[in-house]
Amino acid sequence: MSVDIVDRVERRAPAVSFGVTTLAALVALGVLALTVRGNFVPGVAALGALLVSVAAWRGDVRWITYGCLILALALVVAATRSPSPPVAAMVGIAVALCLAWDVGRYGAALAEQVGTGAATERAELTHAGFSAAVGVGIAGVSYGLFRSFGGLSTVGTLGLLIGAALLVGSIRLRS
Amino acid sequence: MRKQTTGHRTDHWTGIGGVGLAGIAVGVLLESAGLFLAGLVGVGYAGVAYASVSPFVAAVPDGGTSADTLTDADLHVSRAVETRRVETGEEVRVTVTVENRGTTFYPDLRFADGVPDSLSVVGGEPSAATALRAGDDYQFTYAVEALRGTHEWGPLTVSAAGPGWTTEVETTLDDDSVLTSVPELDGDVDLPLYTDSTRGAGRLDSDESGNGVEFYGVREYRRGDPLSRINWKHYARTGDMATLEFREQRSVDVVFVIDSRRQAYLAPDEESPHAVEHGITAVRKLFDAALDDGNRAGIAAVGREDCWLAPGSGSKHRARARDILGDHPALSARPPESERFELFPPERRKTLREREVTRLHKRFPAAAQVVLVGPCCDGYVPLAARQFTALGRRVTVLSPDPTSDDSVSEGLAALARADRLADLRRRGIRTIDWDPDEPLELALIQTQKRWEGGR
Repeated sequence: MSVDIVDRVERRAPAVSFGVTTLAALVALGVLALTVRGNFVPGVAALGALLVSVAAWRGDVRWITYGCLILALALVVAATRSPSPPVAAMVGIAVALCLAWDVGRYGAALAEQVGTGAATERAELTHAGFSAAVGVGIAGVSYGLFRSFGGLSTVGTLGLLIGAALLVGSIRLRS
Repeated sequence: MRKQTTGHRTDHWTGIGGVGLAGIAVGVLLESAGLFLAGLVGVGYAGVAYASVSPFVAAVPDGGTSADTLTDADLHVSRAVETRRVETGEEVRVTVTVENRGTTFYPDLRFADGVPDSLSVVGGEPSAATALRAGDDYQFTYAVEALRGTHEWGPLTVSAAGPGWTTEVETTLDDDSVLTSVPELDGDVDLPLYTDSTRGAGRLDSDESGNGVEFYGVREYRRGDPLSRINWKHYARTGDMATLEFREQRSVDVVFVIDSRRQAYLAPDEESPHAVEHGITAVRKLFDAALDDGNRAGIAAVGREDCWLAPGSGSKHRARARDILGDHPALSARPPESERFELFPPERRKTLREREVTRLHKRFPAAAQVVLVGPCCDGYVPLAARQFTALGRRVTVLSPDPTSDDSVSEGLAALARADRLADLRRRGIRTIDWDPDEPLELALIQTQKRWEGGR
């Protein structure tokens, strides 16, 4: 029995990945809590963030995804509320979510491949840095375009949709 | 030597593009600009991750191979084992060094060293992950505990990926590293040997009177007895001449026959040493003690291949025995993959085993006594003991106990083993039932007491 408990709480993910994942999930939760009225959305988001953090500690790839999906659901519900969170806040939450999902799963896979006790900090920091840079870059470009179109106009929406379709199409071609 | 580099997708980003597109769709439906842009972030992540392919990854087709990627000119990887020969039980440091000799930045490099299964890692990890810029190098170190035998490292696996970890390329490096550990012989025990199969002068107390140092008895004076042996006190008191007798000290030839068949590699659990290892530990002590007492000792093994050291003495013989017990393939720390006579039906196998015992018997010196060392968890050692006895040899069975009472089946195995040993005792064959958790010396003392008590 005691062995089971030790097995359950033992960290199975590298420290840097766990730290970045938890921090990103907390940022997403914090921004949602600050920008949405009521307790329901922050409550759901807190559940998602907790799941993400525990799963990152345990190195459980599947539950990191489930936790992020709960956070994403909280974001969708927040968008339906009046007033909904500012656009910039929602983009920021999305970046934090993607970062938590990516880095958490990366760390779990890394630990599975080389072990929890192995020295992995440089690889983890490089990947987390890349992921954060990608998120900030995409958020900056899309928010900049949004602002330059002066909102979600029909032309702007169409342009962004075409861009997204091209992007996904190129991904499918590559794979 | 490096194998060709292979490439495969990691599926790390699977799903994020779809969730992003769903976010965009919901954003459009709800006329929520924030949700629309949030979805776009997801799609953007997927796009950038797939687009950020490093050149060394692009050179290897998905599922294919390449001989020009991760070459030694790009990435030089070497393994250094601190020493090639070491005392058993000592820690040995192993250092893996990676040099980026090319011009490429490796954002995600992973290494897993092929530590021999027979060695346990006692410090650090035999694997690592890092990022490495052009011209930089990286080291990771771990320690293994040297166990008896020769241990060869397996290939070291190197994998590399771009910053997004979308596709991974992998190669293996065969760098011959070997560690040999030969334990010392340490004969701080006293094996009770039969004294009726002696060979010449030695230090073993026989049951005959002769030129020893231990008092044996007094007998009537016979013409020609040396003056130094005459009991002058007795003469002064009675006027009759009597001669003192001392116990004759003789030496014996003894051959330690170790059961190293696959069936003998038994242990109570995965962490504990197996019975063959315990048997070898015991022989290391007893062989040394036998030589210290002026006897001649030899070694034979029954198992995967021939192992034979004819009885002898002297420092060279001792050194040869040390090497055989430390490093002979027939006494490997790992069980053999296949067994001699394995393909024969049981009856035929038994006949062949009996012939093997006869062959050993013919090989041994005429008066050599046999110490059979094995767990006795099947019928082989009892069969060999009975056969050696029938051939006129003095036999002692030393049996390290690998059984436990953790389950019903293990308890039954322990009972069956005890029954085999009891049967040998009933037949007058000396048996030493040794629980390896206890010192061998204790088992020998207890057994000797039992023998002296006639049991």
